[in-house]
Amino acid sequence: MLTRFANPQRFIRLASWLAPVLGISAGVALALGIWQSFASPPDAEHGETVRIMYVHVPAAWSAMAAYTGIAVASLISFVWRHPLADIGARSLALPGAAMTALSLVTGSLWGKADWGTYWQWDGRMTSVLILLFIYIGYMAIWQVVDDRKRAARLAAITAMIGWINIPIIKFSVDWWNSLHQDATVSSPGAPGLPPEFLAPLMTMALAYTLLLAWFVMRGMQAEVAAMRRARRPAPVATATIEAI
Amino acid sequence: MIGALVRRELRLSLRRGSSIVLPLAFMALFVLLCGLALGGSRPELGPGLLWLAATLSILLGLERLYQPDQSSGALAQLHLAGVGSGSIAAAKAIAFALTTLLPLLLAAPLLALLLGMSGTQIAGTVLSLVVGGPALIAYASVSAALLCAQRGGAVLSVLLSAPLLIPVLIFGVEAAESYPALGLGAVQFRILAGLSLLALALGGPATVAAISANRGPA
Repeated sequence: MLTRFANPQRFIRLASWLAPVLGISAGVALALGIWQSFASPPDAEHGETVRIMYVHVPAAWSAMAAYTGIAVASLISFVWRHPLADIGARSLALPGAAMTALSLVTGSLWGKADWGTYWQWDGRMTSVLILLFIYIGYMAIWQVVDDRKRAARLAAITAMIGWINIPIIKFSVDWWNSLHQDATVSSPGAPGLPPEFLAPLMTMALAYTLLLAWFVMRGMQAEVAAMRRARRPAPVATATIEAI
Repeated sequence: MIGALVRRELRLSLRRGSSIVLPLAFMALFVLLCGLALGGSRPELGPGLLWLAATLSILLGLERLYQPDQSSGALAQLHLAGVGSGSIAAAKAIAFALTTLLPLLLAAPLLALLLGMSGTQIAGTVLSLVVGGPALIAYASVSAALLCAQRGGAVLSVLLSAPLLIPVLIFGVEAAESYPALGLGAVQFRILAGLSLLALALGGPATVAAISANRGPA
């Protein structure tokens, strides 16, 4: 698997049909999810603000998933110097950062409506904010370091250290008494969500995942194309006698 | 080997002079400014302010941790001489702790008096800085090593290390604040010690990897 996609040519062939498939299915799932979000009933306790959850929770999930993806791809890039892994990691960074920002913004809107405050310095919110800064630092390394190979190694080291923040985010609601509610969907034994709320949430989670995958595919395609253009010899002066 | 490298680092910073005086002056000025801006003695803010001063002066020192030796070629020469990157990283970290954290710890009680802190508060803050110090140093040395080959990389090192330092800062302040009531056995102190060990375990190998990634022509 790892060596199979070490060949960018093979990846390009795969991406040429996979990217449109992912893009279209992400669009369909997103449309369905948005319709479901508005069709679902308001919550007894939270009223209409429950709909913020359908944007907020999948954004937070995919922000963490994207960072974990960066860390895994960085490990692959660092250990095996896999040529596509660092491109993949790099392409995950911007969508991941956008998802993190989205989850912070929607979270604070929910907080204002539900808890009466936009921001609380508790474990969950602070650690997600830290994640945003880690994303920014990671992207900055790619920007600042000119040499591509060196940038890939340095960014990989950064991404792997920064991963320790992910378990902190996950367990922050258990470790600290937080305003943020505990894990509802994933904890075994918890009452969980009633199906009318769970269905739009799951559709939206699927849509976000597909969207993230599509972004990564497109990002990797763009990176490969940029690398090829950089490698192509600069156009020699083609002016001929006739032209002059 | 590490001892020789530490002595070299210390000698260099002593001869430069400014590198020991500057963090001290910075910290004193910082506490002074905070005292004035926040309206006189605020003992309840003391642990937070001293931790902030320690963090900021470590961030200020990032630039001189690896950059001079990288750009002068001293790191490459040490590598050619067969010195392992691990020894370099360890020596640099120890010397950095001795030149930034230690003066800071010695000055902290005096500055704490300026803020009107009580004896146990001062002891708690100093102890929490001792327990959390390794984490600050470890993360600082990773982010300094990552960007040492980059012109103007110091600002980015600050950006990289700040998110990693935030948990240390949070628990450091909490440990200092819990000391008067609970002493060294407080859970915050244990978490802080755990964070320090984790930072050393992560930061050591990562610093070595960063040093070797930055070796050779860019």
